[in-house]
Amino acid sequence: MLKYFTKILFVFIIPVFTFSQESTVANDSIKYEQKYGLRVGFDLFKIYSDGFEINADYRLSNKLYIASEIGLSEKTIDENYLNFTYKGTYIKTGIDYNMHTNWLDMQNMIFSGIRVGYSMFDQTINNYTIYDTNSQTWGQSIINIPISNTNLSSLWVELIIGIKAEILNNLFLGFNLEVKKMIDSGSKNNIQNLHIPGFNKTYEGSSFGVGFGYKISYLIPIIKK
Amino acid sequence: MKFHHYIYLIFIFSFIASCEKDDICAESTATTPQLVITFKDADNTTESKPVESLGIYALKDNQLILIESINGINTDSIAIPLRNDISISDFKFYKNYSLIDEVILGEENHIHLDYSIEEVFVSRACGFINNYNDLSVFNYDPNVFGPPTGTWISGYEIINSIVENENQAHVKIFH
Repeated sequence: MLKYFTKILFVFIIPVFTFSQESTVANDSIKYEQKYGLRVGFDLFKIYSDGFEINADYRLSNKLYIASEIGLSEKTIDENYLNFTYKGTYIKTGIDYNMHTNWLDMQNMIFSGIRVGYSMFDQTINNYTIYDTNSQTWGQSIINIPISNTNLSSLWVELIIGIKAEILNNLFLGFNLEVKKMIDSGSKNNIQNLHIPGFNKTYEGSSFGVGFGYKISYLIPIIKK
Repeated sequence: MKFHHYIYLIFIFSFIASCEKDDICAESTATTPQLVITFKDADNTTESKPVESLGIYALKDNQLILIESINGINTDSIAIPLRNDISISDFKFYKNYSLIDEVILGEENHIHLDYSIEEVFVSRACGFINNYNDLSVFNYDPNVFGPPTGTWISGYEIINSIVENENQAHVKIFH
């Protein structure tokens, strides 16, 4: 848990520094232009955690962006009574709304967004120990025959809040939090989908999930308004 | 409060809520069930009849392992764990049991159980438990040649051949 807090702290602090580095010289006589275009990037936190994610957004209006993420995940997790591997791809699509009113020609964002997420993946329980509190007589039973659930698919929606700061011309660094609500987890063989690419960890008896993003993206300007 | 303040609040609460559950298997979680046996009078099969000083050993790889909770008690009902790595369990039931200088005293009766194992997924933290189906009981050791013999147990009756909880007896033993 402590490891998680330091992770969170780390991603919180860096955008603060980057914000403070901005210095724009104001010039009254210029009419400030906002850039419209396609912004593409990838997620640093995702590389650190379990895979790779490419993200893109396109500015529709002053406040509104259409946004999408595509990613792949693969990881083996060792729990007390079981060891499992998840592997798959996901896509998320939705909109971002910029709540921040920019000064001058700055393009920073404090945004909230919504996404619809869909993942196709496999989950394999590699080995497991039969949970038996009376095992002192016969000994613990460890099963090494994997249980594979393949071609699984899950559908969810998520709410996002985050910031994106322009640290260099057209280069953005962003941090965001995600809260996810499962619509259909598509589990098989009465085995819970323990970790879903894009949705992340699932919780027993709850359809909610959480996520973090720490994203670098580059804006390809198409028009200026 | 502005609209986005509400969003921040929802996020904070969601994160607290998601941190609540831990990945440690809760003690209240249903574990792999044990086999529940009740002892009845052989002459009057509806009457409970306690066994005097009952001791039970599990027999695994020619080794006897005492079930710690059943070490010379007077009782008319017991719960014993079934073997999970293979789908048979062998037990030695001793009546008038005592252990003196590592020597087992008492009347011995072999009980052999045969079943099928069904693994049931519980949760991330607890993994799987076993349930047992198609339970059958042998009042002797089928691996020993010669006519089957039990000593102090005269018979048995399977009440429930599916072991998925410990709420009621699965087997009645008459003596």
